[in-house]
Amino acid sequence: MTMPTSMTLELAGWAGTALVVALAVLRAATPVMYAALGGLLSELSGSINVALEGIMLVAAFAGVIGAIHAPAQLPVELLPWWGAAMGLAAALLLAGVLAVLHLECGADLIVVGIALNLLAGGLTIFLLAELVGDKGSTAGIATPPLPSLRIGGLAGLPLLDLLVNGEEGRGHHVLIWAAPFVVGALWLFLCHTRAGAWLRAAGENPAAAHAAGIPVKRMRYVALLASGALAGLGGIYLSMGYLTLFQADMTAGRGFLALAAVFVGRRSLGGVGAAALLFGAAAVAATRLGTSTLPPQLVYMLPPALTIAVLALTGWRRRGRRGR
Amino acid sequence: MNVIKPVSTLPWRLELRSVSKHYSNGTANGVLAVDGVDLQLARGEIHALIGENGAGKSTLMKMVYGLEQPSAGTILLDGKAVRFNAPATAIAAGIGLVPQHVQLIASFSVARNVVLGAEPARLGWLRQAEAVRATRDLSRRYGLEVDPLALVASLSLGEQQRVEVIKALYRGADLLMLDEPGAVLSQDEAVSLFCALRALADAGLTVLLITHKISDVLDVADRYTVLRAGRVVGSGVSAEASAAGLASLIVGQPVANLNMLNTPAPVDTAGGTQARAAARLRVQQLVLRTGTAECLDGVSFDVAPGEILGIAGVEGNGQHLLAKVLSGHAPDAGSVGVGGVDGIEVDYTGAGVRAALRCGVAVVPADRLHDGAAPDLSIADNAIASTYARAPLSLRGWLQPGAVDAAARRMIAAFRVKADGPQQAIGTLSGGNMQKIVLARSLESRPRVLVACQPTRGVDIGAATFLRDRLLALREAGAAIVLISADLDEVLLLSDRIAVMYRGRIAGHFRRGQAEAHTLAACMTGAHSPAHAGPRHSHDAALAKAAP
Amino acid sequence: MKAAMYSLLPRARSMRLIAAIGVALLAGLALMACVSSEPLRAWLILLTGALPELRHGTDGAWHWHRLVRFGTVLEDTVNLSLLGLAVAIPFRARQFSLGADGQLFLGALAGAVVALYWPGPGWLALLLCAAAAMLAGFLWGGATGVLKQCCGANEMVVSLMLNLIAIEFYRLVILYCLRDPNAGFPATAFFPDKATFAPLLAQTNVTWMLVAAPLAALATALLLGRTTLGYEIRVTGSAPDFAHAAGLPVGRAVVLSMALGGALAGLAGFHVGHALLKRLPVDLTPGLGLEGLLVALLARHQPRSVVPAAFFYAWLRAGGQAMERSTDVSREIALVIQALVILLVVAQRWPLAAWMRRLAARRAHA
Repeated sequence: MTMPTSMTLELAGWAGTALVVALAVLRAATPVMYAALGGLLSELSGSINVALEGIMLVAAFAGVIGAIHAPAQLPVELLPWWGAAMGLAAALLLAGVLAVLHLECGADLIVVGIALNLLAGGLTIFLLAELVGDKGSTAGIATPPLPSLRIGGLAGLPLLDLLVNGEEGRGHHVLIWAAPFVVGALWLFLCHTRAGAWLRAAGENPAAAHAAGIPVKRMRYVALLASGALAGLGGIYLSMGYLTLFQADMTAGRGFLALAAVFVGRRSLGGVGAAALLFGAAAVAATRLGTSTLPPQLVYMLPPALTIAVLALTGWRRRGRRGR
Repeated sequence: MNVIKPVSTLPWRLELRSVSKHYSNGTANGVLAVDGVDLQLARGEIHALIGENGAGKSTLMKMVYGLEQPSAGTILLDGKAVRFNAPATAIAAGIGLVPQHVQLIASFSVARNVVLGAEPARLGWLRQAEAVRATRDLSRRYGLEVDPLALVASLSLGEQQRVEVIKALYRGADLLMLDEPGAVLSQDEAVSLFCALRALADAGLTVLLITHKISDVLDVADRYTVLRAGRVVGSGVSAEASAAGLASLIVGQPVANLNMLNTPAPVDTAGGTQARAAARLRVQQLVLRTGTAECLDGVSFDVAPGEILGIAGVEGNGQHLLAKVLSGHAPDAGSVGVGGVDGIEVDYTGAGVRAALRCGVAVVPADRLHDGAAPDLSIADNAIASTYARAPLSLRGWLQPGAVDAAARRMIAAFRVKADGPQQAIGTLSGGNMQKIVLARSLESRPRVLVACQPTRGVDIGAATFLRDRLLALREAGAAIVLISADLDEVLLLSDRIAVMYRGRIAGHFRRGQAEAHTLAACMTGAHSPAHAGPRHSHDAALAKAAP
Repeated sequence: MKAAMYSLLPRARSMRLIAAIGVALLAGLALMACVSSEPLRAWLILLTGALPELRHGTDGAWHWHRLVRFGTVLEDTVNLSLLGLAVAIPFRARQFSLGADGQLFLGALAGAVVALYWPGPGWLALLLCAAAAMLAGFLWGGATGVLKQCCGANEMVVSLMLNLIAIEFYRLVILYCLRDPNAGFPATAFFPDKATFAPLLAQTNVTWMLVAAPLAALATALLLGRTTLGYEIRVTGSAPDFAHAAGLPVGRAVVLSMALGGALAGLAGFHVGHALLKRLPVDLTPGLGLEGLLVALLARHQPRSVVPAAFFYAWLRAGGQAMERSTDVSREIALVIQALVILLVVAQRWPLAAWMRRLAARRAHA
């Protein structure tokens, strides 16, 4: 993460620093946010998706590899988009396996999810070694990231320029721009479309939904696949935006952080988004504090400790409210 | 209000001709749930299909709705023979069902629930305003007052039921079936529902009320049909019916004097302190309110050692909550106490299941598959659940497999359970055999008080007789038994005293021999309240009250 | 009829397992064929690479070769058995604990502290180290259980977070408290001999801890089958509502199941530190706990199947390493195959027959 130029800091003062930190939080929270949105969708439909971690990983991997091994006819600008498409396809494939095994073959959802996480971990490292020759990462190869978007002509308003175009005016990654739209689209879907109503009904009271003629199984399929797609977007951002390479195990537990965000956020869009931002903030705080005099290990303990504290507190208050 | 309708020459809206339903349940003959039933419903009439639990009403309803198919006979809609293979076909033909237990999405609004599954949408986009408008129209037209924008979770059960009615109407129902509608309603809510039903009938819809309550027939129905043991035993016009006549038809015995119902001979609970001082179980003023219509509203009784108190009543009148409180759950008010060996009473109100067990209270739960047994574990594992922590079954934390096996075998033999051995998974046993193990386990801990909830539900005749004998044997041994059962015959057979629960209260207290089936049945259906002294009067009074 | 079905099930289940292993191995072969130039040879090395060889030596006698590799198999079996049991016990109470890694690290740390600072008699050293390791794991596992019981916090997420905290704590302590100034890389000093195991097989680290695996499996089976606590755990896991209604101490059973699992994971940490490495490096790689989870899933959470499942996994792992050394296929394929086995075994029914019938019916209608 680059430090802001001294010019920007002088101009904006403390507001600028706050903004820079906020942008860093946004960047760190985006993958968790996408995965958490996916987790929320599947949770609302009555199936908990534990395989978010594995789905993010395969999407990150397939994105990078797809961009490298794109068909020759494709122009250079479209390479990363092709990679993103491959990443999404991989995510949908894994989510599809989860859905079929659970809904058709009656396997336990959580066990299949965990097994798929293990499969994804092994498969990505295996294919990484075979296709790239390096078991650690694709650092040796130049992999194209998805583009960032910037809006010009804001030189006169330094704070706004900082907000919209980030440090050094490079703009924000296209997936970060897309995030609020995705949240909005999900909100519209869940509250204003028939399919969204059916999905929520299928999760909240499957017997009533079935009696009303709603195809509960189909809704669960849709939810699991959509959650895979969203987690895939998070994974693509990891390897084609946040970093521009694929590393073994690069998700590092973000899929489970996303699950935690779903639990903490009480199955509501706002809550989940806020929880994801909170976890992102914890990660950023950890890296910032890491440069201070505290031993780094102590700092790295803070984000998971915060996660546990938040989970425990919300659960405890819920217990108290419901009464024993 | 009693308009004489002209005799119609049109075909019946719904007609059943010699409809029968035969279930094979593995035995030689199977079960004949419905036997040659004839039923005719005209347009614009409210028809009550009345009978006891198990008379075949719900089977008939399922056949009309497409959940089951008749084994014999025909169903005709407007004179044409129809066969519904699934509820969707029945709904398309204009048949709507308001189920006994509401099936709504709690976090959705009323309007959303009404249109659930058939939402007005353009290219998938919900048209909320249209849903709200449709709901409001239907609600106003038939007097089913409900706010379309309110969340269902915040509604009372009566209001939720109204939403179900509007839901059925929205799907285009013009034959509406209501399954035990009054079971969950308060008096006022019942009146307003009946007004709405009358408005529906006046608009030309047909309403079929499936009920066990005589008051439903007398208050709102135009005609009625009585079912007993799967057969039609009577039908006619409600205006000419009387409560006593209906009761005799339902139960099959003549009801001599209805006035007896108005003055039941209550058992003296407050007076005679010497007689009651020896009470083993004392329950005082229990109050428990949940969000639903089922509640406990000041229940008091006591049970002496060596006595069986039968709690009769239709399910949903508070028995389930009573069992919960007796097993240790905390009520909102009131107390539960067990008389100790030395006469000192131990109050265990709300102290939890383990405290209740320690006081010697054992509970046989109503839902044996859910709360009574672990279906995947072996018979032995299930059998020791109440006594595993003490010798001889375990010693300092180590289970003694020999003792466990012996105990399980002893229970299997003593209760004549048909099983291959103690290691068989209990879920593979028949209902009767599983219930035998559940009861055997409760008896193992030598309880001083036994609360038996629906002990012979879903159990074959032979096992049921055996279980009842064991309950009687336990009584001989000096325990106090509370028998909560919806099976009136069982209550009459076993109980020394009978208390009837209605709407969370004890509505009547009888001693053995003082009450017969019809008295109790009438008490259970609230028929002995003064409002139902005669046919039809209450309906007019209610209408007059409700008119704006 | 139902009883007959139930007695058939174990046999059907083992047939299913064997079929699943076969299918997964073939799938692995297919995957290898996509990326490798000599898939069949690689596949055979995967399956047989862990075998020690018996060859006729120049001196006329038979000698064992490649024992080191087989030794690794045995060492891994011990680790994975203990870690598999650490997951299996909570699972019987219906808790999905993913915290074996953290418990292992803390157990290793506790054992190291005792080993380095124990002044007393030598024969007690190993026992105390083991006890300390198990205690550390017990407490850490219990923490997850307590958080689940008191706050309803999902145990998967909590145990993972506790993992991260435990690993950082381990690194902190080693870097700042136990660091050996003479070592070339950040690690503790070598443990004194009284606190380590002597190898049973030359050039390997196979030690007396080899018996710990089957003993732990036996102890777990005894716990679950013969003790009152095990009974409570089983009933809680099988039918939680019934357990509540029958007055069983459900909360205590949940917490203790996780704590006991943690104790076994701590013992695995003890094994890693005192038998395998004989010192603790700061960069001990996490991930063994996840493999233990895999083993537990393979063994369907039955204590008696954990050791064979661990052996199977370790076998494939060693074979994978041999394969990687002599061919162009990397060893993670073993992980892929194991995950495939689990996926195949976990499905309750294969609706292929039903799909065929539906397709045929649709074609007949058309």
